[in-house]
Amino acid sequence: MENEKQIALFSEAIQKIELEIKKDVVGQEEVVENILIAIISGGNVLLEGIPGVGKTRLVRSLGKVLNLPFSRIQFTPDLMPSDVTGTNIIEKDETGKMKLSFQKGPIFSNIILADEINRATPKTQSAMLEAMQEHKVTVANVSHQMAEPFFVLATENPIEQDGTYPLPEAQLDRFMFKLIMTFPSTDELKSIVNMTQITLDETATAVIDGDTLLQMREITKKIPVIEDILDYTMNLVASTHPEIDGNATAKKYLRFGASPRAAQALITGAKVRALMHGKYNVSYDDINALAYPSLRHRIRINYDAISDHLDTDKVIDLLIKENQKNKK
Amino acid sequence: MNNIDFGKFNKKIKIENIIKSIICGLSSGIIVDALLVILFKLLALSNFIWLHIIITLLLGTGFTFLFLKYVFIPKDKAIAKRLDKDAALEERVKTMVEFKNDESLLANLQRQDAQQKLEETPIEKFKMRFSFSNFILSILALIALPIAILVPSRKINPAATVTDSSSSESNPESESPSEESSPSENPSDGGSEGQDGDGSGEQNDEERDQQIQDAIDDMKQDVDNTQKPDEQTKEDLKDKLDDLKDNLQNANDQEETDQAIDQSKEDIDQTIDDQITKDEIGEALQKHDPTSQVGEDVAAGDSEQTKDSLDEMRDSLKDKTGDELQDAMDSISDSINDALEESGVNPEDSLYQAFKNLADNLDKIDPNSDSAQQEIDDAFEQAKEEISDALDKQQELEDLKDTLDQKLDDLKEQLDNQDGQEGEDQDGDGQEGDGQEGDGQEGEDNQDDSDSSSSGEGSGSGSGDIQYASDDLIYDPATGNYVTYGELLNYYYSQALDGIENGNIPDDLATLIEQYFNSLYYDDGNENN
Repeated sequence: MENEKQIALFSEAIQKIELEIKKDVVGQEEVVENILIAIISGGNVLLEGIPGVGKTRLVRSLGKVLNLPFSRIQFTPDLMPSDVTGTNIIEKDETGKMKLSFQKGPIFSNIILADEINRATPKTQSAMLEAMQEHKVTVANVSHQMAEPFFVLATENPIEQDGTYPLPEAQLDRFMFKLIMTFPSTDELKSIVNMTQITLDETATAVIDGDTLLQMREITKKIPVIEDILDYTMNLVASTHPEIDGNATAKKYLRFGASPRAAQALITGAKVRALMHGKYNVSYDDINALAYPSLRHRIRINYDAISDHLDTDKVIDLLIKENQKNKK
Repeated sequence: MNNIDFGKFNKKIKIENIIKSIICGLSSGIIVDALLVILFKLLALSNFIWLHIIITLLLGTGFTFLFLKYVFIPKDKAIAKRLDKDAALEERVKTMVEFKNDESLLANLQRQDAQQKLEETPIEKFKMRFSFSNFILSILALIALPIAILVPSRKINPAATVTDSSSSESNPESESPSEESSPSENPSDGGSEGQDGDGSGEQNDEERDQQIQDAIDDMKQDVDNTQKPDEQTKEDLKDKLDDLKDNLQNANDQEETDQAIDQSKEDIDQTIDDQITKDEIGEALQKHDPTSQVGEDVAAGDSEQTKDSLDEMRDSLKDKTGDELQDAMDSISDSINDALEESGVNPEDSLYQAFKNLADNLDKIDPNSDSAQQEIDDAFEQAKEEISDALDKQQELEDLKDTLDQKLDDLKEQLDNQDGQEGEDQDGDGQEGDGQEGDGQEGEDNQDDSDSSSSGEGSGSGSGDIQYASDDLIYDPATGNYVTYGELLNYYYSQALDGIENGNIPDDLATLIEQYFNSLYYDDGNENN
């Protein structure tokens, strides 16, 4: 049960986390905030960015700040599922008998960086995604539970597309957010260079632990959301479907729309965001801000959008504008 | 307001609702009153401005309360939405309203947070808003009032209502024919329209005009019957009476009639008063010793007494000669001249002239002459004659004034009574008027006579109480159609003539019948044949 002290400490904790991460990661404030939202919400994040923008550093730093074990899995085409989940190995026990013993894979950690997940085969991707979804791994009919909190940050390399296995939509849908790490500005670049000249190691220190994170998760679930905002969110998600009458933008620019998970992601994430910003209620701004990370990997633009030079985020812009009339 | 306390914004919200209620309430009051103004005009009722001001204020107040109590009841959710929007509170207030009954820790914290933010928000951020409907209602009120003022009043033309109201009688068929001669003869009601004292069939224009004419002629006769007043005065008075006649014939209602008569009275009195100078001259003469007694008698208008006073004045000059006589005569003539000058009367006035002649004659007399006394006697005799003549004239004018005033009052009363009766019988219930039937034909024009055929209708004979123009429409029960009066009359006349020709009717009776029908053709320029 939450108490007032915990709630009051929430915002303070978030600020400390952000400050600590800033020590290791320059810029990318929005990405950091959204990752924190996803972690607190219990979701996973798909991170897109060119090599060298600090994805691994960010996740490692996050692990330190949250005082949670971190592991990195570099996905390659030859990576096997057992390389991810672990496997049974034969070993001798004390009596000299042979027995099977499960050797946990790198996925058995709290914070996982699944690097270039699109390079692995679909089979290996599935093993990863099963763990993400169910927080357990089944090997030889034996299920092995993951530790909580469990957070996966998967990355996709947008440059190298040859020989890759892009995640199917059904799998993409399991990620709460898709975030884009952009190339830093020149000032940020300068800061990065200056910082890494001193040390390449992460200097962030722990602020909270896993239990506190779980408590924060419980607290945010109870943040009130008014009916009008719920309606607005549902209408926003519904407006991404071109097959529904009245969705002019979706009809014109989308091939398919977002699943109900998008609505869940929006509401859950908005609650966390509200509390992070010192509010005790969700606002329209929260929903609109999280519309991009929640929807961009769940909808697919068509050739009309491409020919009109619209990317996914711009189409989401249009959807938000179209949906303003549903604000009450 | 519901349960939520919006702190310092409560007052502003209440004020906004009061203002909205007042705007809508007053606008509604004005619109309703504008409709009443139009209704009053259509019903030819008096539109007193003070009455409508009171009605508007009362209605406006009533509507204001209704709007305040039932329409502009501020709802928490609506207020919360506005506060969130105006003060950029990010749905804090709306959440507070929606979760007002949630007692969980987070809900309480949310409420406290919202209340705190409300406290921190300056009151100016909350903008008073007035909806489009408020604006439309105000515009409608602004439009309705001038329209109501510009709508012309329905004038009651006594003559027109004879046939107009009769056409609105129970018989629906009465509406079909032409308007100007809407069938005034409704068989179902005995064709009673147009009868005396009958609102619908009230006294027609001609009768009223005739009454006015008679009264005017009578008064003119009174003017002509006076002997002393000069012709110019008489003509002036008769002109004024003609003006009165015109004004009365054009008057639309009782108020205008009364105003015309009152104005005429005033004018006639003024005309006559301008001719009466005995008071001014008499009072002026009284101020001088030699002429004080004469002045008193002149002011009283008593010509006989005035003559006696003049005799006394003359006698005072007897037995005087020479300078003494001269002084006495000078004293009298100077007094007269001074008095005449002081009176301010027009020198052309006859009384003025009479006294002036006396003074001049006395001035001319040589006191030392042997015939001085004779001349004095002659002068006074002349003066007596002229002055009494002038006084008689003025007295006659005063009497005429009283007579005319009385007759004007009588006329006013008569016309007022008739206008009042007109209003009582609007339903044209077929009261029988004078000479309604007038001719031995069925002659029953009461409402019970449902089969009153046209034979008894619209006879308008003799007495002239009902006068129909030849093109007035009349119901013909024989055919069930409406025909003109002229046509119907011709038809019956021809029938009568056929009967006379073909039947065994005594000559004198035939003559009577012909005379009767001839009397039905009235000479108003609309002879049927």
